[in-house]
Amino acid sequence: MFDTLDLKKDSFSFEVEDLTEEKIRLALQNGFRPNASDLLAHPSFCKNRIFMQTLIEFDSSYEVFDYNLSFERKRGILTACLIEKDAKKFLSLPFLTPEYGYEGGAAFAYEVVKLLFFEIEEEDQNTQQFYYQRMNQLLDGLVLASYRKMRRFRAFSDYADINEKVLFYLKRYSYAKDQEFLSLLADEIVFETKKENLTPYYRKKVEELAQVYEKERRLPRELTTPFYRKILQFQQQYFTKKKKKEWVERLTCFLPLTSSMSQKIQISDDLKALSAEEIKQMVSKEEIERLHEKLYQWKKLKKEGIVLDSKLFMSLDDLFFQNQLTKEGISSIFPQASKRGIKMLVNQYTKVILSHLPSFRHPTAVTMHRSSYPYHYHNYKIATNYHIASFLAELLLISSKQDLEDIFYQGKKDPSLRELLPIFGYFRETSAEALKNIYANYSMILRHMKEERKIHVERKEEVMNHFDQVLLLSQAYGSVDDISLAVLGQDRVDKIVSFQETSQDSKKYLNTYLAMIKEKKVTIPPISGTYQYYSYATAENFDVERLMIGKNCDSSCIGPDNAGEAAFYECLTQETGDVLMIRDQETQEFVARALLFRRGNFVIMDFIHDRLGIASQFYTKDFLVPLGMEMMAKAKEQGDNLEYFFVNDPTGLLEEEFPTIEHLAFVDSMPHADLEELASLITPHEGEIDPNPSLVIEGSYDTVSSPLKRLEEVTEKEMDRLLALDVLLEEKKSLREEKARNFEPFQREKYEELYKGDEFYLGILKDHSLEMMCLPTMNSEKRKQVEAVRDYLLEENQNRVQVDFKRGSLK
Amino acid sequence: MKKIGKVMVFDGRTGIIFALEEEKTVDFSARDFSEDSLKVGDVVEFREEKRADEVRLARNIKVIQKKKTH
Repeated sequence: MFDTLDLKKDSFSFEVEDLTEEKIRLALQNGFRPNASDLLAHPSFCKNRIFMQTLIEFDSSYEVFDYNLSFERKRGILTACLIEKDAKKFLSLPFLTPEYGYEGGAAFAYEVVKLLFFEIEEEDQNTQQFYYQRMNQLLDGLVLASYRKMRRFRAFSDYADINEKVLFYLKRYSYAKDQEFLSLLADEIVFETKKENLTPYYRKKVEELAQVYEKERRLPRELTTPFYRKILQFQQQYFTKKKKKEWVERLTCFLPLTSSMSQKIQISDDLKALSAEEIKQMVSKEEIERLHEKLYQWKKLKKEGIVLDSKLFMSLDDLFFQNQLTKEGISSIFPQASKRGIKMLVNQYTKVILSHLPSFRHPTAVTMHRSSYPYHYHNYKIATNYHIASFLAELLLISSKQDLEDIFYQGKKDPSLRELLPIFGYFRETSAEALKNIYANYSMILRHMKEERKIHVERKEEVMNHFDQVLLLSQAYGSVDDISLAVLGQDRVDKIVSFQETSQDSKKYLNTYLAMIKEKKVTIPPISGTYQYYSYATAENFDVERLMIGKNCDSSCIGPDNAGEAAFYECLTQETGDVLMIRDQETQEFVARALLFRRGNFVIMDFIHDRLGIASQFYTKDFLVPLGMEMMAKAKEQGDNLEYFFVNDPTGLLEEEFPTIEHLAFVDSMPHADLEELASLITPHEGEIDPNPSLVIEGSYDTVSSPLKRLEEVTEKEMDRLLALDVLLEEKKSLREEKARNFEPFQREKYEELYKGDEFYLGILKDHSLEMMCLPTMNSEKRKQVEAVRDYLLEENQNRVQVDFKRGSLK
Repeated sequence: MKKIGKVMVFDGRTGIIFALEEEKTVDFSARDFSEDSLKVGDVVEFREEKRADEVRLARNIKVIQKKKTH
């Protein structure tokens, strides 16, 4: 039964399955104006792209009802509500309701807003100074945390590591009596600490150590510890100083300039852009004469090495009227002048021109790059109200109901935590996800710091002084749990939290995976094969690497919490979408991917994207034709109405080989996936080409399973994933909890033999008993097959076996 | 592997469990137990997760013996 939007009072009636742009446009012309309650009562209409796009085009205020509204737009709308303090609008936003997938609800989110949102006096120097100090503490914490993480990968990671390296060289020196080994050791210490000026000191220390080692054949701790400590200190100093400079540079790219700085820049730009003609028009002879008199009598100038006479005044005036009165120009006239003196001269001449500037504002003034100004609260606004609102909006949008509860609880307990809002959001380590983690685990973090690390953190200032600990501990407490980690894999979790373009919340990827493996059908005929050094396949829904279709590709928006969210979910969890995964045949590593969409009688493939961008090596006839032909052959076998296979071609490489078709259907009703109205038709077609997205799709295909593996072929990671899925897919809560409490990684040594599929395993234990586990996603037919194998094995071991049904969900 | 411990501290959102076998403390948050109430002194079953920076967390907590009240 299709949903019908029936506005009897206005005599409009639509069926969701029968919507066309023309119909909606016509209705709008005739006065069709659905109100909020009409739309909220018909979610299928708000999910329909054609309906919503046409409505929004007519009146943009309808966008809040759009189920496919991008994360960025939601964030923009929420930010505006916060800045305008429009509580009524905030509370009525449809995308903040559970129906739109926002569990927390607008009312509770608003309670959090009341607790966290605040405004500052942006132009107040004391306020900016306060956040400047906070930002400095934050940056110090960030670089220190980064150093602690990086240190273990460095050559001198700790005392033991340094000692090992020192002994390595001293043993060789002792054996060969070659001073070169001592030089090499000193050089290595210089390299690791970047203290070239200390080379003689290091050399002396190394010689001392060599002498002791020669006598005692060991290095006493009292001799090494202070030296090694110094090395580590120098290493830390170098790393943190360098890193902080880099981070400050990045930060200044984001921060707005203060009003006074903007004004200074504007004036400086205006001055630079003035022509000689304009200066002559502006400045009178009398003004210049008055200036000469003033400068001539100014004693300070003489002290700075500038003695003026009429000839030198002429040279200065020449430069001034040509707008070339620069520091370099003045020092060529006064080679003895100090920097201060030159600055004084420039300022005095500039003052003459400044009073005339507003009437001579130059339209082509060029502004210098903002990060070229020193990082200081006089030059940059460290905290802004817009940033506070926008960051809070992001925090609210990425928070689940439980997250909101944590934020609310901790926000009430420690109101000063909200002071992080203005200074967070500029780096991955201070993302909204990171702040959510701090709120959720703050009590535990403080307790850990106090009790385990004996750090005094009673006062807020003390916490900020140890922000590296807060960051590292919040990451540890907030990191992914063992069971989720077993499903996603450490490498993927690292990628999820490292790249900010799409969500850094691992749970969203985990939930997508669970939805993906439950989806057993696809309307795009599955294909697989090899091409050159690569293998490719679609419909492999158990392949966890598919979750990385955004994270694996530089700057990709395909993923949760970005514009490509809908494309991500459709391709991975819905029948009408799929992903072509291209891998290295030998290593099976990710090479490229392309998103596939089925609409009516056609399939369209998006860009083929590798890690860096468009993978042009795959835009060939040899790669694409077999792919399309396999798709069509399978469709024909099944009586599917699939007629066309189109490829979006940003390279232009397919233009000569394949016809280019222009059709609105390639863009309309597609989630954001960079598709265009033009696409290359890969599969041959006779007669008129008529892609029709409205046709009911007649094909349905099974997703693809991996081949069965035996004990010697399975990896621990694969088995851990299967065992973790058994926990996560358990529907009964108490049973799921019990399975989670008992969750243990796979122990290979327990098994004599094992057979593993995507959704089950059958293991013969060392005592010849039988263990079997089937995921609830498994269909009854496959389950029967597994049971048949189990029965066979039972028969084989008739007198010895004992069936263990404790594990798994077989009833 | 399932462990047994006693709730030592609980502020309504987070707390500490004393793991009986190892005689070590483990942190926990309210997200990790499903029961309606958890009180200091309750004996619980849980799975321990070891994380970076010597963080130890109790997960999937289940009360197996409520603290006796007189």
